[in-house]
Amino acid sequence: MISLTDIRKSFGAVAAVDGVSLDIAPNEFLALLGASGCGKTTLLRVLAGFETPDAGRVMIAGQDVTSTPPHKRPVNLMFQSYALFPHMTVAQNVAFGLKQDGLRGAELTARVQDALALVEMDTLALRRPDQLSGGQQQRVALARCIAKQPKVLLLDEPMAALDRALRERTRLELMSLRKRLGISFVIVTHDQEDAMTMADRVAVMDKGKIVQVASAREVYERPASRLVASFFGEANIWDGVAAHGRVDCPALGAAVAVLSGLPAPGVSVAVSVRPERITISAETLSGDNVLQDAVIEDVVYLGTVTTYLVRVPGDAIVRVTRQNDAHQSFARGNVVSLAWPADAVVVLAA
Amino acid sequence: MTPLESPGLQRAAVGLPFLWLLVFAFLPLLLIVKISFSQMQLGVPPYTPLLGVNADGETAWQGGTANYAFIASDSLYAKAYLNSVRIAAITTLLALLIAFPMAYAIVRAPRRWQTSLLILVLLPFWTSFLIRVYAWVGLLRPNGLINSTLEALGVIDEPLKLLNTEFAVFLGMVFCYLPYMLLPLYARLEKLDVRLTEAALDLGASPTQAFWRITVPLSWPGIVAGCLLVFVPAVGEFVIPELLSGADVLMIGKVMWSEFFTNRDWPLSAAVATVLLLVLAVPVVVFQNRSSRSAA
Amino acid sequence: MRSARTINFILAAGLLFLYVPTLVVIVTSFNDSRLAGVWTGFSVRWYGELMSDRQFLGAAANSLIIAAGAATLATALGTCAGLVLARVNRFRLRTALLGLLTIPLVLPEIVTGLSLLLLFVAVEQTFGWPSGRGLGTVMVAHATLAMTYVTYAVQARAVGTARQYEEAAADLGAPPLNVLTAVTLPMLLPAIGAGWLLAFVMSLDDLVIASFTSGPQSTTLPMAVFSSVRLGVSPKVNALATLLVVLSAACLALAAWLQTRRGGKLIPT
Repeated sequence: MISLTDIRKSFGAVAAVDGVSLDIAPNEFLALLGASGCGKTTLLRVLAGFETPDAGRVMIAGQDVTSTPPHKRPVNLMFQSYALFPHMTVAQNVAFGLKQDGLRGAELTARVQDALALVEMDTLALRRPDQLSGGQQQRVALARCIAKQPKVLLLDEPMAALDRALRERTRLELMSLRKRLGISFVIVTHDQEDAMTMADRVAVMDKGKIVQVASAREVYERPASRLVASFFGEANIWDGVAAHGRVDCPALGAAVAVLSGLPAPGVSVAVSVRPERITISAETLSGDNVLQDAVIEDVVYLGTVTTYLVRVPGDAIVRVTRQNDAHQSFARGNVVSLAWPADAVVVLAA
Repeated sequence: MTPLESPGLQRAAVGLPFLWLLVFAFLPLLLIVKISFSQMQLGVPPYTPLLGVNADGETAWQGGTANYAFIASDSLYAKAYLNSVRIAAITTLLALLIAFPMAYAIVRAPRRWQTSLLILVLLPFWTSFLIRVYAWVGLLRPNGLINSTLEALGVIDEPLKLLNTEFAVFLGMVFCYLPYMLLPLYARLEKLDVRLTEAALDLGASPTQAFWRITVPLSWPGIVAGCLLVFVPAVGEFVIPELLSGADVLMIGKVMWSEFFTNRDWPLSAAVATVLLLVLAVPVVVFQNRSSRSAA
Repeated sequence: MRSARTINFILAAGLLFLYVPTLVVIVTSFNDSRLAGVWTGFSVRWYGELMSDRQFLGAAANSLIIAAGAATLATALGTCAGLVLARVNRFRLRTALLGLLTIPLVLPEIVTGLSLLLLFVAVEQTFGWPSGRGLGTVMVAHATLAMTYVTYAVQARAVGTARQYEEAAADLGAPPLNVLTAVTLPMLLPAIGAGWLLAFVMSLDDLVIASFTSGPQSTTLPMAVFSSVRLGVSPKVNALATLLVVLSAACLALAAWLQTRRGGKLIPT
């Protein structure tokens, strides 16, 4: 549906998007994820037509739209601030885009009605945007976009202005909308939960480049780089030197057994282990990787889980999360053992 | 892509005001300078062309600096320029001294009063300049309100001479130009973060120190803007000295007005105006440079 | 705090200083006596005399025509300039346009007046048009002065209005001209309206520039007032002054309402 080839865009000396190539399938839900300033919003604006790339090509539905102005593109963007026209009613806002297509009379009314019904806002059609709550404004903005029946819907941080409960609900609604409309969604977000719950694929961006594109699960379990590992979820990352079947990590005071992904022995690498893959116990543990005589330095209670910061003999601090249950919990100063399987270890470039 | 990024609309939106100002603001300035080198003549137009046909039938340069020589030779002009600058400078200082505490008080006033106070300050800015000067004529006349009140109270036996004095000019100038000083000061002070002063107090500064070390430096751009908005028009002011000062107080605006409307000497008026522009260019350039440097 | 009381006192005294003279004129305009110092009773006779003074009425008609025309011209030009300055960060003539905009602002009125007269005369010499000066030349002169104020009012409002509304309209399929008429201009309407009112009041108020650029048939109200005041204080002028103050106050109130509606600011800062 969308094909981006080697897109580049600079503002002055800053390369906001620095050579991005990406294909988005029909009916795919893609999340562009990254820290602020990574270029994800610029990439979205290139797709919508607000920025002309310095180099590269944008194809939408088989047509080269690289230099097509925004009002002639079959995509619609839902703005982070919603950008609802304050001098128009809800219905007028939704009708605006349809009128540009030449729709008038009964057909226009019906299409506006349908779009508003889809987001359950048809009863508030005559209100003005400043008479709506944040959640309602977001629904109107959504209705205004989908009324145009775009081939691709672009969403810029759609959850940024919503509270936690509303976010969860909106995520479910966006997913069901996608199923019903059968169009592609591209969402820009800095919230990994958005990406994990909704997206078929996640594209992680850093410094204007896409560093990994894969399913959320794969990005989480097999991060392609140190940055992805630390940005997408939490990770313990240790520097080390590759050996046969293991990585020697001075900070751990031990070698870490690894299943795959090792370069030639002697090469500097890093290893990453997710905190929830590490077992913590007062008894001596056994397994692929075991660290004895570790001391708990800090305990952070988070409701469903507790995070322990544990100092190991090599002097590193290891982050461990453990599901809270009725059984055992640990306190500061306890001496414990840590263990994790070799398949939990991902080898990353140093 | 906003509408003004579309080339056609942008060209129109830039072109129309640009051409208008070029013709009606910039070109006229060049004309003033040009005609200041001509001489007065009877006829239409009432000035000689710079290139004319002489007695031998040849096209020759007729312009000259006679007007400037005349301005330099007659001490009346030098006195008028100096006096205008002096009066404008004192007016600016007085206006600043009065407007600063006023603007400060409005910014510090409770929120719900601010808009009303602001409208009160703006209203004189919107009411006729001429009417406001005229109001002072009514107050200051020998049989005006001030004198008749004082006489009725027995404070004085015969009317004080209030009108047609330099005092009356200062009164009128400060009165009329005060809003021009107030608005930029208010605009600046309003943006000033109260927490900065609070931080200074918290760090042990006295209120006086906080005022001089924090508030005044940070409102400097407003002070500069206000002073320029008062000083520049005040130097060339005509209505106030004309109505309030009579013949005693010499100001360049009055001199130029009478050169033009009474003596009908357009070229000399143009020369007077050109010299006035040069006099005004000095403080404008100096202040603009200082403020752009302090902003950097 | 003592300093707070001092500055509040200065504020009150300053406001009194700004208002008392004008209030005295307003009160005097209802005095039956010809002498300002003696109150002989409430009367509206000076308003009656004003209304039968053909000279003043003619000047008032001239002034209103000039002010309406100048304000409309100034608003059209100033809206273009304000919009383009607010929305386009870099264009070729930007510095030149900003420079030109400051000319009418920093020139003493008396120089502006003379310079425009010289222009009109030179144009007439060259093209034979406009023949003499009249309402049109004053209108053009006032529009030039007022457009700078409209520019700043529109620019300030446009900078404060997110570009995203225009982008959203384009995204929804509106070509640039539709975006301008359906979104940009309606959203700026309060500033444009306030700018028009300001220009109107400025034109209505100007004496100096009008004196230079008007012809024998186009005496404006301030010119009529000025020549009357030079002859001395007249009760009729008091009545006229009162009417002008009321008109200005009404224009300001309307402009303030327009500017502060939907979160705008009275003074762009």
